[in-house]
Amino acid sequence: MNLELRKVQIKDIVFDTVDKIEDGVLHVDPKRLEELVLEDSRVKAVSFDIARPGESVRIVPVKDVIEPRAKLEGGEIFPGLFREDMQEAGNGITYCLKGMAVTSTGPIVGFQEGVIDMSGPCVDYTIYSSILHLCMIIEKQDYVDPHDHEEVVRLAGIKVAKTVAEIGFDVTEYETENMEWKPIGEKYAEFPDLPKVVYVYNCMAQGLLHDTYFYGRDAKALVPTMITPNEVMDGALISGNCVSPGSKTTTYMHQNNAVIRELLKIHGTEINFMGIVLNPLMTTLKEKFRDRMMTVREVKMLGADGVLISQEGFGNPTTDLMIVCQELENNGIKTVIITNEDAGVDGMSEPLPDSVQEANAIVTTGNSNATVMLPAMDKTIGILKEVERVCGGNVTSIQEDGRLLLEIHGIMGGHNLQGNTKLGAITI
Amino acid sequence: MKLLIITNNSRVNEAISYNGESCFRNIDVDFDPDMSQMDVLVRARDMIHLGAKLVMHPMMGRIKPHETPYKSVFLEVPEEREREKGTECDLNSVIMIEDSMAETAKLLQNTFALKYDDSMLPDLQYLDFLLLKAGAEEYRR
Repeated sequence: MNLELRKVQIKDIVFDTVDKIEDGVLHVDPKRLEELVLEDSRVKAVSFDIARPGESVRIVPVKDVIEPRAKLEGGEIFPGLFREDMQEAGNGITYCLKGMAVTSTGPIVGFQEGVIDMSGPCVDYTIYSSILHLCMIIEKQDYVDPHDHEEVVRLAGIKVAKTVAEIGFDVTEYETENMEWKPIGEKYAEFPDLPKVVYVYNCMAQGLLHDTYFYGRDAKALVPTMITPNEVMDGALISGNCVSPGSKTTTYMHQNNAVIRELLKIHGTEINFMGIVLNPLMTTLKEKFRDRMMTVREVKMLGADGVLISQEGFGNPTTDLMIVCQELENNGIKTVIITNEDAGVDGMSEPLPDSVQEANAIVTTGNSNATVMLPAMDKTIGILKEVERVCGGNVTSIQEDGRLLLEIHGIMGGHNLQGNTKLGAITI
Repeated sequence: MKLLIITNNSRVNEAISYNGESCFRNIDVDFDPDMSQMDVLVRARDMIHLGAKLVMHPMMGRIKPHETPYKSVFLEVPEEREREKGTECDLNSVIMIEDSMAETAKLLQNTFALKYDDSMLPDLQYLDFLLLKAGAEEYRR
Protein backbone atom coordinates (compact mmCIF):
# COMPACT_ATOMS: atom_id res chain seq x y z
CA MET A 1 0.00 0.00 0.00
CA ASN A 2 1.67 3.20 -1.23
CA LEU A 3 0.28 6.68 -0.85
CA GLU A 4 1.86 9.92 -2.00
CA LEU A 5 0.52 12.94 -0.15
CA ARG A 6 1.07 16.22 -2.05
CA LYS A 7 0.70 19.03 0.43
CA VAL A 8 -0.14 22.41 -1.04
CA GLN A 9 0.29 25.22 1.47
CA ILE A 10 -2.55 27.75 1.37
CA LYS A 11 -1.71 31.27 2.63
CA ASP A 12 -5.02 32.97 1.95
CA ILE A 13 -8.49 32.38 0.49
CA VAL A 14 -10.35 34.90 -1.71
CA PHE A 15 -13.70 34.74 -3.49
CA ASP A 16 -13.39 35.08 -7.27
CA THR A 17 -15.22 34.15 -10.43
CA VAL A 18 -12.57 31.59 -11.38
CA ASP A 19 -11.09 28.72 -9.39
CA LYS A 20 -7.29 28.66 -9.09
CA ILE A 21 -4.38 28.61 -6.67
CA GLU A 22 -1.85 31.34 -7.33
CA ASP A 23 1.14 32.15 -5.09
CA GLY A 24 -0.45 30.09 -2.33
CA VAL A 25 -3.72 32.03 -2.54
CA LEU A 26 -6.84 29.93 -3.12
CA HIS A 27 -9.29 31.66 -5.45
CA VAL A 28 -12.68 30.02 -5.27
CA ASP A 29 -16.03 30.79 -6.85
CA PRO A 30 -18.66 30.73 -4.08
CA LYS A 31 -21.48 30.51 -6.67
CA ARG A 32 -20.14 27.20 -7.94
CA LEU A 33 -19.93 25.83 -4.40
CA GLU A 34 -23.45 27.02 -3.63
CA GLU A 35 -24.77 25.25 -6.73
CA LEU A 36 -22.93 22.11 -5.68
CA VAL A 37 -24.49 22.11 -2.20
CA LEU A 38 -27.96 22.97 -3.55
CA GLU A 39 -27.87 19.83 -5.72
CA ASP A 40 -29.21 18.21 -2.55
CA SER A 41 -32.87 19.24 -2.55
CA ARG A 42 -32.97 18.95 1.25
CA VAL A 43 -30.89 22.15 1.48
CA LYS A 44 -32.93 25.34 1.73
CA ALA A 45 -30.09 27.86 1.66
CA VAL A 46 -26.31 27.95 1.74
CA SER A 47 -23.70 30.69 1.75
CA PHE A 48 -19.95 30.91 2.20
CA ASP A 49 -17.65 33.15 4.19
CA ILE A 50 -13.94 33.28 5.01
CA ALA A 51 -12.25 33.52 8.42
CA ARG A 52 -8.53 34.17 8.72
CA PRO A 53 -6.15 33.78 11.68
CA GLY A 54 -5.77 37.05 13.58
CA GLU A 55 -9.14 38.46 12.54
CA SER A 56 -11.74 39.49 15.11
CA VAL A 57 -14.09 36.72 13.96
CA ARG A 58 -16.03 34.07 15.84
CA ILE A 59 -17.43 30.98 14.09
CA VAL A 60 -20.33 29.40 15.98
CA PRO A 61 -21.91 26.83 16.00
CA VAL A 62 -19.33 24.67 14.20
CA LYS A 63 -20.44 21.17 13.18
CA ASP A 64 -17.47 19.73 11.32
CA VAL A 65 -14.02 20.87 10.21
CA ILE A 66 -12.64 19.14 7.11
CA GLU A 67 -9.27 19.45 5.40
CA PRO A 68 -9.70 19.68 1.62
CA ARG A 69 -8.31 16.52 0.03
CA ALA A 70 -8.71 15.05 -3.45
CA LYS A 71 -7.25 12.12 -5.36
CA LEU A 72 -5.34 12.57 -8.60
CA GLU A 73 -5.03 8.82 -9.03
CA GLY A 74 -5.62 5.60 -7.08
CA GLY A 75 -9.31 5.60 -6.23
CA GLU A 76 -11.62 7.99 -4.52
CA ILE A 77 -11.20 10.38 -1.62
CA PHE A 78 -13.71 9.87 1.23
CA PRO A 79 -14.46 6.41 -0.25
CA GLY A 80 -17.91 4.88 0.08
CA LEU A 81 -19.70 8.18 0.54
CA PHE A 82 -20.76 8.91 -3.00
CA ARG A 83 -20.32 5.66 -4.89
CA GLU A 84 -21.02 2.04 -4.08
CA ASP A 85 -18.09 0.48 -5.95
CA MET A 86 -15.44 1.68 -3.56
CA GLN A 87 -11.78 0.73 -3.76
CA GLU A 88 -9.50 0.39 -0.79
CA ALA A 89 -8.32 3.87 0.22
CA GLY A 90 -4.69 4.74 0.87
CA ASN A 91 -3.09 4.15 -2.53
CA GLY A 92 -2.04 6.51 -5.30
CA ILE A 93 -1.71 10.30 -5.13
CA THR A 94 -3.69 12.54 -2.80
CA TYR A 95 -3.62 16.34 -2.80
CA CYS A 96 -4.08 18.07 0.57
CA LEU A 97 -4.66 21.80 0.96
CA LYS A 98 -2.76 22.56 4.17
CA GLY A 99 -3.34 25.52 6.46
CA MET A 100 -7.06 25.66 5.74
CA ALA A 101 -10.32 23.83 6.32
CA VAL A 102 -13.90 23.70 5.14
CA THR A 103 -15.94 24.43 8.25
CA SER A 104 -19.67 23.79 8.43
CA THR A 105 -21.98 25.90 10.54
CA GLY A 106 -25.75 26.19 10.99
CA PRO A 107 -28.24 24.70 13.46
CA ILE A 108 -28.34 20.90 13.97
CA VAL A 109 -30.40 19.25 16.72
CA GLY A 110 -30.72 20.35 20.33
CA PHE A 111 -27.21 21.19 21.29
CA GLN A 112 -25.48 23.31 18.84
CA GLU A 113 -21.84 23.02 18.17
CA GLY A 114 -18.59 24.59 19.28
CA VAL A 115 -16.85 27.94 19.02
CA ILE A 116 -13.75 28.94 17.07
CA ASP A 117 -12.33 32.45 17.58
CA MET A 118 -9.72 33.59 15.08
CA SER A 119 -7.95 35.81 17.66
CA GLY A 120 -7.76 36.34 21.42
CA PRO A 121 -7.25 33.70 24.12
CA CYS A 122 -9.00 30.97 22.07
CA VAL A 123 -5.80 30.79 20.00
CA ASP A 124 -4.05 29.27 23.03
CA TYR A 125 -6.59 26.43 23.20
CA THR A 126 -7.21 25.17 19.69
CA ILE A 127 -5.24 24.56 16.53
CA TYR A 128 -8.29 25.64 14.52
CA SER A 129 -7.65 29.31 15.36
CA SER A 130 -4.41 29.15 13.40
CA ILE A 131 -5.79 27.93 10.07
CA LEU A 132 -7.93 29.57 7.37
CA HIS A 133 -11.60 28.62 7.32
CA LEU A 134 -13.83 28.47 4.28
CA CYS A 135 -17.11 28.56 6.22
CA MET A 136 -20.25 26.95 4.86
CA ILE A 137 -23.44 28.32 6.46
CA ILE A 138 -26.16 25.81 5.66
CA GLU A 139 -29.90 25.65 6.36
CA LYS A 140 -32.17 22.66 5.77
CA GLN A 141 -35.65 22.56 4.30
CA ASP A 142 -38.36 22.62 6.97
CA TYR A 143 -39.53 19.05 6.27
CA VAL A 144 -36.09 17.48 6.82
CA ASP A 145 -35.97 15.39 10.02
CA PRO A 146 -33.01 15.47 12.47
CA HIS A 147 -31.30 12.36 11.05
CA ASP A 148 -31.41 13.66 7.50
CA HIS A 149 -30.37 17.09 8.72
CA GLU A 150 -27.15 15.71 10.16
CA GLU A 151 -26.50 13.80 6.94
CA VAL A 152 -27.19 16.84 4.74
CA VAL A 153 -24.65 18.97 6.58
CA ARG A 154 -22.07 16.17 6.80
CA LEU A 155 -22.22 15.30 3.09
CA ALA A 156 -22.26 18.93 1.95
CA GLY A 157 -19.07 19.63 3.90
CA ILE A 158 -17.32 16.62 2.42
CA LYS A 159 -18.41 17.47 -1.14
CA VAL A 160 -17.13 21.04 -0.80
CA ALA A 161 -13.83 19.87 0.71
CA LYS A 162 -13.28 17.44 -2.17
CA THR A 163 -14.22 20.00 -4.83
CA VAL A 164 -12.00 22.71 -3.38
CA ALA A 165 -9.05 20.32 -3.11
CA GLU A 166 -9.35 19.46 -6.82
CA ILE A 167 -8.35 23.06 -7.58
CA GLY A 168 -4.94 22.03 -6.24
CA PHE A 169 -4.28 19.56 -9.09
CA ASP A 170 -2.77 22.34 -11.21
CA VAL A 171 -0.30 23.44 -8.53
CA THR A 172 3.30 22.43 -9.16
CA GLU A 173 4.78 23.53 -5.85
CA TYR A 174 4.00 21.13 -3.07
CA GLU A 175 5.65 19.15 -0.31
CA THR A 176 5.63 15.40 -0.85
CA GLU A 177 5.20 12.73 1.79
CA ASN A 178 5.37 9.08 0.84
CA MET A 179 3.54 6.61 3.03
CA GLU A 180 4.24 2.94 2.57
CA TRP A 181 2.30 0.37 4.58
CA LYS A 182 3.61 -3.18 4.41
CA PRO A 183 2.01 -6.52 5.27
CA ILE A 184 2.22 -7.54 8.93
CA GLY A 185 4.85 -10.27 8.38
CA GLU A 186 7.20 -7.90 6.57
CA LYS A 187 6.74 -5.27 9.24
CA TYR A 188 7.45 -7.84 11.92
CA ALA A 189 10.69 -8.94 10.24
CA GLU A 190 11.86 -5.44 9.42
CA PHE A 191 12.61 -4.23 12.95
CA PRO A 192 12.69 -7.36 15.11
CA ASP A 193 14.48 -5.65 18.00
CA LEU A 194 12.15 -2.69 18.38
CA PRO A 195 9.09 -2.82 20.66
CA LYS A 196 5.95 -3.52 18.65
CA VAL A 197 3.25 -0.91 19.16
CA VAL A 198 -0.41 -0.97 18.15
CA TYR A 199 -2.83 1.95 18.19
CA VAL A 200 -6.39 1.27 19.42
CA TYR A 201 -8.53 3.94 17.78
CA ASN A 202 -11.81 4.37 19.67
CA CYS A 203 -14.69 5.88 17.72
CA MET A 204 -18.26 6.73 18.70
CA ALA A 205 -21.04 4.46 17.36
CA GLN A 206 -24.15 5.26 19.39
CA GLY A 207 -26.83 7.10 17.42
CA LEU A 208 -27.64 10.50 15.99
CA LEU A 209 -24.89 13.06 16.69
CA HIS A 210 -22.82 10.26 18.23
CA ASP A 211 -21.66 8.42 15.12
CA THR A 212 -18.62 7.80 12.95
CA TYR A 213 -18.63 6.66 9.33
CA PHE A 214 -16.15 4.11 7.99
CA TYR A 215 -16.07 3.91 4.17
CA GLY A 216 -19.32 5.86 4.23
CA ARG A 217 -21.10 3.33 6.42
CA ASP A 218 -22.27 3.76 9.99
CA ALA A 219 -19.71 2.43 12.49
CA LYS A 220 -22.58 0.95 14.56
CA ALA A 221 -22.50 -1.92 12.06
CA LEU A 222 -18.78 -2.49 12.69
CA VAL A 223 -16.85 -4.86 14.91
CA PRO A 224 -13.27 -3.98 15.91
CA THR A 225 -11.35 -3.89 12.65
CA MET A 226 -7.71 -3.63 11.63
CA ILE A 227 -7.15 -0.53 9.51
CA THR A 228 -4.10 1.26 8.10
CA PRO A 229 -2.80 4.83 8.49
CA ASN A 230 -3.03 5.31 4.72
CA GLU A 231 -6.79 4.75 4.70
CA VAL A 232 -7.27 7.30 7.47
CA MET A 233 -5.30 9.88 5.45
CA ASP A 234 -7.66 9.30 2.49
CA GLY A 235 -10.81 9.97 4.48
CA ALA A 236 -11.98 6.41 5.21
CA LEU A 237 -13.19 7.84 8.55
CA ILE A 238 -15.72 10.68 8.60
CA SER A 239 -17.10 12.36 11.68
CA GLY A 240 -20.84 12.23 12.31
CA ASN A 241 -20.33 13.54 15.80
CA CYS A 242 -21.72 16.61 17.36
CA VAL A 243 -21.74 17.67 21.00
CA SER A 244 -18.71 18.18 23.21
CA PRO A 245 -16.80 20.23 20.64
CA GLY A 246 -13.65 20.16 22.77
CA SER A 247 -13.19 16.44 22.43
CA LYS A 248 -15.08 15.44 19.32
CA THR A 249 -12.97 13.94 16.59
CA THR A 250 -13.77 16.09 13.58
CA THR A 251 -13.04 14.80 10.11
CA TYR A 252 -9.99 17.11 10.17
CA MET A 253 -8.73 15.37 13.32
CA HIS A 254 -9.17 11.97 11.64
CA GLN A 255 -7.30 13.18 8.54
CA ASN A 256 -4.56 14.65 10.72
CA ASN A 257 -4.70 12.05 13.50
CA ALA A 258 -1.91 13.14 15.83
CA VAL A 259 -1.33 9.67 17.31
CA ILE A 260 -0.79 8.15 13.86
CA ARG A 261 1.51 11.03 12.90
CA GLU A 262 3.66 10.63 16.01
CA LEU A 263 3.81 6.83 15.78
CA LEU A 264 4.91 7.07 12.13
CA LYS A 265 7.60 9.58 13.11
CA ILE A 266 9.27 7.17 15.53
CA HIS A 267 8.53 4.02 13.54
CA GLY A 268 11.78 2.26 12.68
CA THR A 269 13.86 4.16 15.23
CA GLU A 270 12.14 3.80 18.61
CA ILE A 271 9.20 1.50 17.86
CA ASN A 272 7.81 -0.87 15.27
CA PHE A 273 4.34 0.54 14.50
CA MET A 274 2.44 -2.64 13.70
CA GLY A 275 -1.05 -1.36 13.02
CA ILE A 276 -4.33 0.18 14.09
CA VAL A 277 -7.43 -1.44 15.55
CA LEU A 278 -10.55 0.68 15.04
CA ASN A 279 -12.82 0.04 18.03
CA PRO A 280 -16.47 1.19 17.80
CA LEU A 281 -17.90 2.38 21.12
CA MET A 282 -21.32 0.77 21.42
CA THR A 283 -24.09 1.24 23.98
CA THR A 284 -24.98 -2.20 25.37
CA LEU A 285 -22.75 -4.05 27.76
CA LYS A 286 -22.69 -7.24 25.73
CA GLU A 287 -21.39 -5.32 22.69
CA LYS A 288 -18.83 -3.54 24.85
CA PHE A 289 -17.54 -6.86 26.20
CA ARG A 290 -17.51 -8.49 22.76
CA ASP A 291 -15.64 -5.50 21.31
CA ARG A 292 -13.16 -5.71 24.17
CA MET A 293 -12.49 -9.37 23.39
CA MET A 294 -12.11 -8.72 19.65
CA THR A 295 -9.94 -5.63 20.08
CA VAL A 296 -7.58 -7.44 22.43
CA ARG A 297 -7.44 -10.45 20.12
CA GLU A 298 -6.53 -8.29 17.12
CA VAL A 299 -3.91 -6.44 19.14
CA LYS A 300 -2.40 -9.81 20.08
CA MET A 301 -2.54 -10.98 16.46
CA LEU A 302 -0.51 -7.90 15.57
CA GLY A 303 2.10 -9.03 18.11
CA ALA A 304 1.95 -5.91 20.25
CA ASP A 305 4.23 -5.30 23.21
CA GLY A 306 2.54 -1.98 23.86
CA VAL A 307 -0.68 -0.19 22.99
CA LEU A 308 -1.81 3.40 22.84
CA ILE A 309 -5.58 4.04 23.09
CA SER A 310 -7.16 7.34 22.15
CA GLN A 311 -10.60 8.01 23.60
CA GLU A 312 -13.73 9.53 22.14
CA GLY A 313 -16.85 10.68 23.97
CA PHE A 314 -17.60 10.74 27.66
CA GLY A 315 -19.74 8.71 30.05
CA ASN A 316 -20.36 5.14 28.89
CA PRO A 317 -17.35 5.21 26.44
CA THR A 318 -15.05 5.57 29.44
CA THR A 319 -16.06 2.03 30.36
CA ASP A 320 -14.89 0.75 26.95
CA LEU A 321 -11.61 2.60 27.44
CA MET A 322 -11.05 1.10 30.87
CA ILE A 323 -12.08 -2.51 30.17
CA VAL A 324 -9.92 -2.67 27.03
CA CYS A 325 -6.97 -1.22 28.96
CA GLN A 326 -7.52 -3.70 31.80
CA GLU A 327 -7.69 -6.71 29.49
CA LEU A 328 -4.59 -5.64 27.56
CA GLU A 329 -2.60 -5.16 30.76
CA ASN A 330 -3.81 -8.54 32.03
CA ASN A 331 -2.42 -10.01 28.81
CA GLY A 332 0.97 -8.47 29.56
CA ILE A 333 0.60 -5.65 27.00
CA LYS A 334 1.66 -2.28 28.38
CA THR A 335 -1.08 0.25 27.67
CA VAL A 336 -1.23 4.04 27.64
CA ILE A 337 -4.53 5.93 27.51
CA ILE A 338 -5.20 9.42 26.16
CA THR A 339 -8.30 11.06 27.62
CA ASN A 340 -9.53 14.39 28.87
CA GLU A 341 -10.86 14.97 32.39
CA ASP A 342 -14.20 16.25 33.61
CA ALA A 343 -13.07 17.35 37.02
CA GLY A 344 -15.59 20.13 37.63
CA VAL A 345 -15.13 23.88 37.32
CA ASP A 346 -12.66 23.93 40.22
CA GLY A 347 -10.80 20.81 39.03
CA MET A 348 -11.30 19.12 42.40
CA SER A 349 -13.75 16.36 41.45
CA GLU A 350 -13.10 12.79 40.36
CA PRO A 351 -12.11 13.31 36.70
CA LEU A 352 -13.40 10.11 35.06
CA PRO A 353 -16.74 8.30 35.35
CA ASP A 354 -15.04 4.88 35.36
CA SER A 355 -11.56 3.64 36.19
CA VAL A 356 -9.57 0.45 36.75
CA GLN A 357 -6.32 -0.09 38.64
CA GLU A 358 -4.61 -1.37 35.50
CA ALA A 359 -5.00 2.08 33.88
CA ASN A 360 -1.72 3.25 35.36
CA ALA A 361 -0.43 5.32 32.43
CA ILE A 362 -2.81 8.08 31.37
CA VAL A 363 -2.06 11.15 29.27
CA THR A 364 -4.58 13.91 29.94
CA THR A 365 -5.62 16.57 27.45
CA GLY A 366 -6.99 18.83 30.18
CA ASN A 367 -10.03 19.50 32.36
CA SER A 368 -12.97 20.21 30.08
CA ASN A 369 -14.95 22.00 32.81
CA ALA A 370 -12.37 24.73 33.42
CA THR A 371 -13.76 28.08 32.29
CA VAL A 372 -12.32 30.74 30.04
CA MET A 373 -13.50 34.30 29.29
CA LEU A 374 -13.35 35.09 25.58
CA PRO A 375 -13.49 38.73 24.43
CA ALA A 376 -16.20 40.07 22.12
CA MET A 377 -15.45 39.66 18.41
CA ASP A 378 -16.32 42.19 15.69
CA LYS A 379 -17.95 39.61 13.44
CA THR A 380 -19.78 36.33 13.93
CA ILE A 381 -20.07 33.71 11.20
CA GLY A 382 -23.09 31.60 12.12
CA ILE A 383 -25.40 32.44 15.02
CA LEU A 384 -23.92 33.94 18.23
CA LYS A 385 -27.03 33.24 20.29
CA GLU A 386 -26.36 29.50 19.82
CA VAL A 387 -23.50 29.86 22.31
CA GLU A 388 -26.14 29.51 25.01
CA ARG A 389 -26.78 26.01 23.74
CA VAL A 390 -23.30 24.78 22.88
CA CYS A 391 -21.75 22.23 25.15
CA GLY A 392 -19.72 24.28 27.62
CA GLY A 393 -21.92 27.35 27.28
CA ASN A 394 -25.17 28.29 29.01
CA VAL A 395 -27.86 30.93 29.08
CA THR A 396 -25.55 33.31 30.98
CA SER A 397 -22.55 32.78 28.70
CA ILE A 398 -22.97 35.99 26.71
CA GLN A 399 -21.93 38.88 28.95
CA GLU A 400 -23.44 42.37 28.69
CA ASP A 401 -20.27 43.71 27.07
CA GLY A 402 -20.26 40.91 24.50
CA ARG A 403 -17.64 38.73 26.15
CA LEU A 404 -18.23 34.98 26.42
CA LEU A 405 -17.80 32.78 29.46
CA LEU A 406 -17.29 29.20 28.31
CA GLU A 407 -16.12 25.88 29.62
CA ILE A 408 -13.12 24.70 27.62
CA HIS A 409 -15.09 21.92 25.98
CA GLY A 410 -17.12 24.58 24.19
CA ILE A 411 -14.05 25.44 22.11
CA MET A 412 -13.72 23.23 19.02
CA GLY A 413 -10.71 20.96 19.53
CA GLY A 414 -10.08 22.45 22.99
CA HIS A 415 -8.93 19.11 24.35
CA ASN A 416 -8.74 16.86 21.29
CA LEU A 417 -8.45 13.25 22.37
CA GLN A 418 -5.79 12.29 19.85
CA GLY A 419 -3.67 14.96 21.49
CA ASN A 420 -3.87 17.43 18.60
CA THR A 421 -4.31 20.25 21.08
CA LYS A 422 -2.43 22.90 22.96
CA LEU A 423 -3.47 21.67 26.40
CA GLY A 424 -1.56 19.03 28.29
CA ALA A 425 -0.33 18.11 31.73
CA ILE A 426 2.96 18.92 33.39
CA THR A 427 4.29 17.75 36.73
CA ILE A 428 4.84 20.61 39.15
CA MET B 1 -36.07 -13.02 32.91
CA LYS B 2 -37.92 -9.98 31.56
CA LEU B 3 -36.80 -6.66 30.12
CA LEU B 4 -37.55 -3.31 31.72
CA ILE B 5 -36.77 0.31 30.90
CA ILE B 6 -37.00 2.84 33.71
CA THR B 7 -37.39 6.33 32.26
CA ASN B 8 -38.54 9.88 32.84
CA ASN B 9 -38.68 10.51 29.08
CA SER B 10 -42.21 10.52 27.62
CA ARG B 11 -40.84 9.92 24.14
CA VAL B 12 -39.38 6.59 25.28
CA ASN B 13 -42.63 5.69 27.01
CA GLU B 14 -44.64 6.42 23.86
CA ALA B 15 -42.31 4.37 21.69
CA ILE B 16 -42.55 1.35 23.97
CA SER B 17 -46.17 1.55 25.09
CA TYR B 18 -47.95 2.76 21.96
CA ASN B 19 -45.87 2.83 18.80
CA GLY B 20 -44.95 -0.83 18.64
CA GLU B 21 -41.44 -0.41 17.22
CA SER B 22 -40.07 -3.92 16.81
CA CYS B 23 -36.83 -3.34 18.72
CA PHE B 24 -38.90 -2.46 21.80
CA ARG B 25 -41.11 -5.58 21.71
CA ASN B 26 -41.66 -7.42 25.00
CA ILE B 27 -40.10 -4.66 27.05
CA ASP B 28 -41.89 -3.28 30.10
CA VAL B 29 -41.62 0.37 30.91
CA ASP B 30 -41.56 2.09 34.27
CA PHE B 31 -42.35 5.69 33.32
CA ASP B 32 -42.71 8.64 35.64
CA PRO B 33 -42.13 12.13 34.20
CA ASP B 34 -41.64 13.56 37.67
CA MET B 35 -38.55 11.47 38.41
CA SER B 36 -35.21 13.28 38.33
CA GLN B 37 -32.25 11.60 36.64
CA MET B 38 -31.01 10.60 40.06
CA ASP B 39 -34.42 9.11 40.94
CA VAL B 40 -34.21 6.95 37.82
CA LEU B 41 -30.71 5.78 38.75
CA VAL B 42 -31.70 5.06 42.35
CA ARG B 43 -34.73 3.06 41.24
CA ALA B 44 -32.46 1.06 38.88
CA ARG B 45 -29.87 0.53 41.61
CA ASP B 46 -32.50 -0.83 43.99
CA MET B 47 -33.58 -3.33 41.35
CA ILE B 48 -29.95 -4.30 40.68
CA HIS B 49 -29.58 -5.06 44.39
CA LEU B 50 -32.52 -7.45 43.97
CA GLY B 51 -30.88 -9.27 41.06
CA ALA B 52 -31.49 -7.10 37.96
CA LYS B 53 -28.66 -6.60 35.43
CA LEU B 54 -27.82 -3.59 33.29
CA VAL B 55 -28.31 -4.13 29.56
CA MET B 56 -26.91 -0.72 28.58
CA HIS B 57 -24.44 1.43 30.40
CA PRO B 58 -26.53 3.98 32.31
CA MET B 59 -24.64 7.04 31.05
CA MET B 60 -24.99 8.70 27.67
CA GLY B 61 -22.07 8.88 25.26
CA ARG B 62 -21.40 12.58 25.25
CA ILE B 63 -24.31 14.48 26.70
CA LYS B 64 -23.61 15.03 30.36
CA PRO B 65 -26.05 14.98 33.28
CA HIS B 66 -26.17 18.79 33.58
CA GLU B 67 -26.96 19.06 29.87
CA THR B 68 -30.21 17.08 29.84
CA PRO B 69 -32.99 16.26 32.34
CA TYR B 70 -33.68 12.83 30.76
CA LYS B 71 -32.51 9.44 31.86
CA SER B 72 -33.49 5.97 30.75
CA VAL B 73 -32.01 2.77 32.19
CA PHE B 74 -32.40 -0.59 30.42
CA LEU B 75 -32.44 -3.69 32.68
CA GLU B 76 -32.83 -7.44 32.59
CA VAL B 77 -35.00 -8.28 35.62
CA PRO B 78 -35.41 -11.80 37.05
CA GLU B 79 -38.96 -13.13 37.12
CA GLU B 80 -40.60 -13.81 40.45
CA ARG B 81 -40.04 -17.58 40.24
CA GLU B 82 -36.33 -17.01 39.45
CA ARG B 83 -36.06 -14.72 42.44
CA GLU B 84 -37.63 -17.34 44.67
CA LYS B 85 -34.87 -19.74 43.69
CA GLY B 86 -32.42 -17.04 44.68
CA THR B 87 -30.54 -14.73 42.32
CA GLU B 88 -27.06 -13.36 42.65
CA CYS B 89 -26.37 -9.67 42.57
CA ASP B 90 -24.45 -8.73 39.37
CA LEU B 91 -21.34 -6.96 40.61
CA ASN B 92 -20.53 -5.34 37.24
CA SER B 93 -23.95 -3.72 37.27
CA VAL B 94 -23.56 -2.60 40.88
CA ILE B 95 -20.25 -0.91 40.12
CA MET B 96 -21.51 0.76 36.95
CA ILE B 97 -24.68 2.11 38.51
CA GLU B 98 -22.80 3.41 41.56
CA ASP B 99 -20.16 5.07 39.33
CA SER B 100 -22.93 6.62 37.24
CA MET B 101 -24.70 7.97 40.32
CA ALA B 102 -21.46 9.47 41.61
CA GLU B 103 -20.70 11.03 38.22
CA THR B 104 -24.22 12.43 37.90
CA ALA B 105 -24.08 13.94 41.38
CA LYS B 106 -20.68 15.46 40.63
CA LEU B 107 -21.66 17.05 37.35
CA LEU B 108 -24.91 18.41 38.75
CA GLN B 109 -23.05 20.02 41.64
CA ASN B 110 -19.72 21.08 40.26
CA THR B 111 -20.12 22.42 36.77
CA PHE B 112 -20.90 25.69 35.19
CA ALA B 113 -24.72 25.58 35.30
CA LEU B 114 -27.67 23.73 33.91
CA LYS B 115 -27.60 24.54 30.24
CA TYR B 116 -30.88 23.71 28.60
CA ASP B 117 -34.14 25.57 28.37
CA ASP B 118 -37.68 24.45 27.55
CA SER B 119 -37.23 24.99 23.82
CA MET B 120 -34.60 22.24 23.75
CA LEU B 121 -36.57 19.59 25.62
CA PRO B 122 -38.05 17.88 22.52
CA ASP B 123 -34.57 17.54 20.98
CA LEU B 124 -33.12 16.20 24.24
CA GLN B 125 -35.98 13.68 24.53
CA TYR B 126 -35.26 12.59 20.97
CA LEU B 127 -31.53 12.10 21.57
CA ASP B 128 -32.15 10.05 24.74
CA PHE B 129 -34.72 7.98 22.83
CA LEU B 130 -32.32 7.35 19.93
CA LEU B 131 -29.56 6.19 22.25
CA LEU B 132 -31.98 3.74 23.84
CA LYS B 133 -33.21 2.62 20.44
CA ALA B 134 -29.61 1.98 19.32
CA GLY B 135 -29.16 -0.08 22.49
CA ALA B 136 -32.39 -2.05 21.98
CA GLU B 137 -31.43 -2.79 18.36
CA GLU B 138 -27.95 -3.89 19.47
CA TYR B 139 -29.50 -6.11 22.13
CA ARG B 140 -31.79 -7.83 19.59
CA ARG B 141 -29.03 -8.49 17.07
